[in-house]
Amino acid sequence: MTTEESSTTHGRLLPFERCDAAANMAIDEAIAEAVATQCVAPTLRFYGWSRPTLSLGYFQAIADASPWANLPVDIVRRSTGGGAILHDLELTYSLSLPLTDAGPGAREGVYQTVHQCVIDTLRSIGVTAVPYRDTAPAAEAKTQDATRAIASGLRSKRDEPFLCFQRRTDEDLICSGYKILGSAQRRVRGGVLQHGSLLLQVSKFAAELPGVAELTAVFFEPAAIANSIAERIGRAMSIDWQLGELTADEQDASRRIQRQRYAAAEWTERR
Amino acid sequence: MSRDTTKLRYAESHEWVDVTQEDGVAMATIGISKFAIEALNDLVYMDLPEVGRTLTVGEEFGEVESVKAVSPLYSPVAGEVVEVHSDLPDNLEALNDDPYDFGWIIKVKLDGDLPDTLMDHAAYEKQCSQAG
Repeated sequence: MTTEESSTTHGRLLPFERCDAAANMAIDEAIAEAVATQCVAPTLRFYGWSRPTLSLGYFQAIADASPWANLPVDIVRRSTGGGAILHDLELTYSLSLPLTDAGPGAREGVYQTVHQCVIDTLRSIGVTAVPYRDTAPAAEAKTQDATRAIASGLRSKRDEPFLCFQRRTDEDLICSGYKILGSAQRRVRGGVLQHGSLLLQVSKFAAELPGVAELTAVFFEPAAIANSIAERIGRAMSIDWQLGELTADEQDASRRIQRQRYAAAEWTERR
Repeated sequence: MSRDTTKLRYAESHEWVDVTQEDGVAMATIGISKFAIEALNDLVYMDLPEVGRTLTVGEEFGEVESVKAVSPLYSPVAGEVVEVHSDLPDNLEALNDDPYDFGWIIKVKLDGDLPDTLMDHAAYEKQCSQAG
């Protein structure tokens, strides 16, 4: 056995599919729990949404979604943090990984690796994107933040815009000045779930947010680049993806989680 | 009076515990360690449990959102939540400066002894140093 073989982990790549909002979120949670308890291998899933959907960040207020309340848009609350995303003409992914240590908070390395793989994939089809931290506005914002922190002794992120794609954090991907990829994580016991969204085209339900197509005149189907991104993530994380499917236990868990949580008004409207 | 961090007990998941006797009842005050707060970086939101809720060791009792991650808080002890620091979610910035006094999160009336898995200060420092 070579060194390379011995350090490679087997992973599970799920085929691209479109589901409704509650099912998508419940499937991701069921996977994350199964991965964290090491019942299944690290799992990467790319998916779409059967209807346009506004997904709220875990701590966001349902009242802030009122502009979409009377539109043909489903609303769901994610388990991951960050801002709201209008899922329409975009590619969503979830990556579930086990963790062997008790270090707290976000896993920056997972963000950086996945986003670099998206950068490389986009570059291969003629689209240039860079992490926000490498942009001029980021440098300017950091200077202003430092000045404010010294002046007040306080830092607050609560006044961030409602929509994820109007926010900026270091690892967000920027194309022609606009954010096209954002990700967010939830830590679970023994693992981490990372959600992310690549904005392909503008949605009529969030007309202020251009996608890759409007910014670069490059069009592609969501599923078309999923495998390319997966291959790069596999190489970067030393994971050998095998095409797989949900286990029976995961399917049972996702149905239970969907019923108890993501399809329940008590969950969606909890704040 | 400031808490003496060398006298606290710590969970692997970075919660600290301070046990005191109040009217003959063992009460555990629980918060998040300075190491964890610095690693979480820019806490934005916190969820607290209801007073009266019964917790088991290792059970999730709340959640925090830091930059781009939601993380659960795990109870290091078993018992009943008798008080929550309701001012804390609106003043999370202060956690950075004062995680062991202003930064207390919940008080729990202990049910039984402290778990053997809790670390003393030296052992917890060692865990943190090995983490990076």
